Amino acid sequence: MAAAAARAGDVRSGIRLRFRAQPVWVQALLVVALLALAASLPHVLPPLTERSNYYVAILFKVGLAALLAVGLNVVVGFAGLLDLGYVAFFAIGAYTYAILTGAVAFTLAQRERLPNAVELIPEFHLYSWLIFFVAMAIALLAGVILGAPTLRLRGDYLAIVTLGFGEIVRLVANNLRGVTGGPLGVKSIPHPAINLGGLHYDFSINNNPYYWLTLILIGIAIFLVTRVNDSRVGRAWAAIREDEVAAAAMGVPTVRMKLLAFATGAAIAAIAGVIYASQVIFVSPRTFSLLDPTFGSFIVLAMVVLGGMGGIWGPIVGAAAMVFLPEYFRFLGDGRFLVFGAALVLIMIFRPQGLIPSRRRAAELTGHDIREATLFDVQHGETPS
Amino acid sequence: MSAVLELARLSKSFGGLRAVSEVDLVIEEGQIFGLIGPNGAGKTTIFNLVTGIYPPTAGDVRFLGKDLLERRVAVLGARARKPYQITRLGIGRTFQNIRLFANLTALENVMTGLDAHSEVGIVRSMLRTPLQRREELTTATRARELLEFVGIGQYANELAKNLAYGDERRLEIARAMGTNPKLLCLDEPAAGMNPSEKAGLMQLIGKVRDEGITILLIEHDMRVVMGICDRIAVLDYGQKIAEGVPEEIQRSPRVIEAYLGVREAEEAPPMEGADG
Repeated sequence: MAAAAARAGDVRSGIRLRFRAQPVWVQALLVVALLALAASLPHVLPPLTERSNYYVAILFKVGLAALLAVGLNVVVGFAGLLDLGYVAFFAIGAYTYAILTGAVAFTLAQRERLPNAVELIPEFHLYSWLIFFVAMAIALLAGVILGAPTLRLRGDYLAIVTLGFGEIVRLVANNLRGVTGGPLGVKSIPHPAINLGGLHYDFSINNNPYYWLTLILIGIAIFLVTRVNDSRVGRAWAAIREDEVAAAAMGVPTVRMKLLAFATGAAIAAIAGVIYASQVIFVSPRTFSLLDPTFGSFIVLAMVVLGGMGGIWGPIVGAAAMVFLPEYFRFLGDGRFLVFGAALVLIMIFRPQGLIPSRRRAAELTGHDIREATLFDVQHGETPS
Repeated sequence: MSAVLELARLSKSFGGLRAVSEVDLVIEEGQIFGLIGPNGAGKTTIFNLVTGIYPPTAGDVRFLGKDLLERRVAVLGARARKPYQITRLGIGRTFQNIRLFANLTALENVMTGLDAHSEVGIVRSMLRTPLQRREELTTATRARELLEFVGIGQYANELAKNLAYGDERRLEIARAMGTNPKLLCLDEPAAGMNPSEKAGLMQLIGKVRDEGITILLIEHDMRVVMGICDRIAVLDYGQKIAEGVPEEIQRSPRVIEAYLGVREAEEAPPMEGADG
């Protein structure tokens, strides 16, 4: 089996090398083609199935989960920091959107039967798009505030503290009624819309535009995250993951680099949170519990581990599997979680490195040497021996 | 010749144990300075004090005339420099038990060391600016040179953990040289090597010194120490019991006593030592 895994690894790194050897415009064309294929799915599905809306809804869920997984992978896969409170940043994004669009104010006014409640019905304005950036900034800040004191901890201790942080954010949302709407949640969160001169487009209740938006954001996230991982910062993360003491002795500012990974992951989660709130138009603290079956910290972590830590495509495939499998077994009723759990256990037993492991991870777990030329070699026309 | 590293009455206690006790040392530029002593004498503790892994209980460390402990008048009291800051000042090190980044390639290991003096951060990496690309290329080229320098250029794309033991030791030296040190601290680099590997290592250490890097060497193997060191200090129970050129050390009765012990009948009162 190890041999088969290694062969699969060879094929994949073969693809990667050939892709990288192409001129930039060919690479760009391939990526655009891939994105176009993914983007056309909502139009491909209707002739194939009568339940195309259902499938697009799942696709959107997969997209959100994939965005979260890509972000968590920076923290867990690249820098090796076990973050069990990742859902907190997702919640911060969602609540930032709910608060800044005025949905919280409206919900509270209506709940108290204030006469002017109707005037407060939230609307989406052009400047509301800025909330995406505000949410990112707030999550970055929250990531740094949480990270600065805790990232001095290592391994298990960090996991426990982040677990606590995840719960604290949920409890704050639950109890800070005046700001977050409390345990009953926030309703009437406005859908995004584009109103630019003659151009009008309402995202409304349809899944398609959210799916496309998510797709674009995943594209941007992958693009940026790959570049960072291929740079000095990515090397520093890998060094910290491998041996923190040695990394510090080689001049890596470990605390700063860990903060950077943490904040990057947090910002990506916040974006996902904003999209989530804007599509579902209702958020409540319960959505952000650790064990939520779609976006809970543990589930997202499972996506990353199942798909393969430290790579780029692994977490995305993991997200797809973790969202699709429970849907696929839906005919079993609640029994589907049993099957789902068993499937997870089996996958982890037979493929501990994940479905699509990064080359390093694969080498680590199979003890197999998967040699691959670096980008540097390809550029200089050397072939891997 | 000027002093690269000066230790003045340096002490470190762990609870009731005095691991290092009032040690004075001066290492001159261009020297290969050996630090020897029986197990538990405090050699590695001195390394860890110099490289900032933990702060000393008392005493001073001066590097190129600068106080490494940087006593700021801060609210939180004295603040020692962090290990990465000390590395960037110009003190590189290797580890007694090899601590490579096992799942990175040899080239990436060395590049990580070189990154200590790179400039681009996360934003320019995201944008992949021309400066960033240029820097990556320079870093990779220099890393290759360093791998060639220590003699493992052919393994550039091999994962560090797949290297032979002796080559791992060499890679650690290359990685530390990447940080562009003025002073390189080698912690038992010859441990576990066979005689021919040791000979090769001695040659390499000489080559490193010829690059203008001062070397502080902890080593148990006497043939290595006596063969390449310009000057040697001997530690025993955290105290410096002797210092001098190799010939003096070999003749010093205190050193022989520390290593071999003395017969009871001959037990002599403590001597002055062979200092100076």
